[in-house]
Amino acid sequence: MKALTWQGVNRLSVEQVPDPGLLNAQDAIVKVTRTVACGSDLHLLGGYIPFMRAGDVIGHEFLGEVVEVGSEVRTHRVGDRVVVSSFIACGRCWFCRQGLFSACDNGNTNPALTERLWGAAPGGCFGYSHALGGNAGSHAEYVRVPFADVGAFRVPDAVSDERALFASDAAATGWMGADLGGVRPGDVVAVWGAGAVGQMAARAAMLLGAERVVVIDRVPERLALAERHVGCEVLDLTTTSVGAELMEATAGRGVDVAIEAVGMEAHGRGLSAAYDQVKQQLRLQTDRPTAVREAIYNTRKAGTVFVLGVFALAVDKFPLGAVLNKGLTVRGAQMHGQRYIPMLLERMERGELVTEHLATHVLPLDDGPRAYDLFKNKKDGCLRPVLTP
Amino acid sequence: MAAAGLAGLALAGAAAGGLASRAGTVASAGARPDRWHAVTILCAPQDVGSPGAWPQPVAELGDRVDVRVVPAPGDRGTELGLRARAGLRPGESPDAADLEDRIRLALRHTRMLLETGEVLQPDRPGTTRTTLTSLPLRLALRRSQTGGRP
Repeated sequence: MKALTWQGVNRLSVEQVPDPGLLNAQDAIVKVTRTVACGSDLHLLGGYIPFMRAGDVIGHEFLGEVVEVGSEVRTHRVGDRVVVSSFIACGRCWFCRQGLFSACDNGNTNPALTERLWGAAPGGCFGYSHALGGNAGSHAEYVRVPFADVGAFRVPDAVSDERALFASDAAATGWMGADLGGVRPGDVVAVWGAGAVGQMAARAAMLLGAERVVVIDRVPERLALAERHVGCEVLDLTTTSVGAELMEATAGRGVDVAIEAVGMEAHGRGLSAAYDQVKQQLRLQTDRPTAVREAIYNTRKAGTVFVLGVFALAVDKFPLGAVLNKGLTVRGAQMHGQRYIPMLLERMERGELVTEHLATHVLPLDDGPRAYDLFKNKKDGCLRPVLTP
Repeated sequence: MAAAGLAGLALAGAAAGGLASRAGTVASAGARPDRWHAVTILCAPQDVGSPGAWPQPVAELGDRVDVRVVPAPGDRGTELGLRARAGLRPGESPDAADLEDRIRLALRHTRMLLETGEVLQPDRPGTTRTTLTSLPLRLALRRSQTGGRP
């Protein structure tokens, strides 16, 4: 079959690779019909997640049709149209039973790598390096889905492929940020990052009752999409003082909940951003936490900061003093898709959650390298490129 | 590329360092040869088994290991602990490092079997090819299931 493979830093190519097969009784094989690039893929592309090997198939956010099921698969049949959680979880360990699916004890077949790195291994993920299991990704004609009863969800007939696709990761991640960030009616919420995850976090905050939701970014096209399709307020960090705007918007309190949806390659203004750029390029820190710092600084006393952006290892100049003295709760997680996808599909069916505008470019799988060029370099207003194998 | 590659090597090296050097578990500060390796399994203690009727990954270790089964605190299930028998521990036997690896693998597989009914298989056949810059990662992956925290 054809698949989009990582070949080295900033090098992708479409290659012929072996078809996947059933390896466990709880597996399904899914024929991929839509698969979308995620901002976190850019960290792989840039070499910031150094657990990739040349030839690895990337992609983790997808939708398709079940074409084969293992003997222990109970809820899916051949022909089902399913959206699949990007994180692989067993559904039966203690963490899964708490709804913390991305912390699954049994979903990662390479646990020793991240045990050494982080102290414990998270679950597995499709197409996201050998640190998260070395699973083949979804930018391919077919993909093996372990624990299919747990991670694959039948899409209601009334929900289009284009909409349901984003339940796989972006919408679920965004919802998690608002939910676990504790957004409540009346809150003022700020979201750093107007990518797909940031927009979905903003929409989730609105649906959870936030009084005001402000999305912050530096790309005008993305801010315009957020304003038009999500209905939130926006701030362009290149033309205004984010902190001053947020203080004015909250009458000096600071935001109740800050959601960081940027990650390890953050941009910003001023000394802090320049410092991070230099230090990351000199390899003195692995991640650029510019947006996290700004989120912490602008959150009210006893507020919550939720980190959705992907970080690899360590950051410098983390404002722990602000965390302590303002009494903040700082939380983060890879996404617990299995916890949210059924609810998200229902909301999509009711029209409460629309995602089609996120797919600014739809391309065949053969154009995968071009899709990532558009995406990485933000050409032609690209927010998310969708591939159709 | 060069800079990113260096970062890759550094980060992969952080993970690979401990994995590639099995002796590190013995030599590191605070190492104790009789320390238990353990996992917490979401099931009742009686479901983990009993002497003569352990799950296959534990049974395969035979009389080379001590086995400890105790209820976990709260609602967390059962703690299954394994350690090499006296005389087979690090510093006592030339095969001790290999046995430690087998113990970690047995614990992980036992948890998978008891919680999910099967051992999750990694994707194969692989699609990767060997490159020079992936050497640290390749070394780390050799022990990606058997290594881990001391």
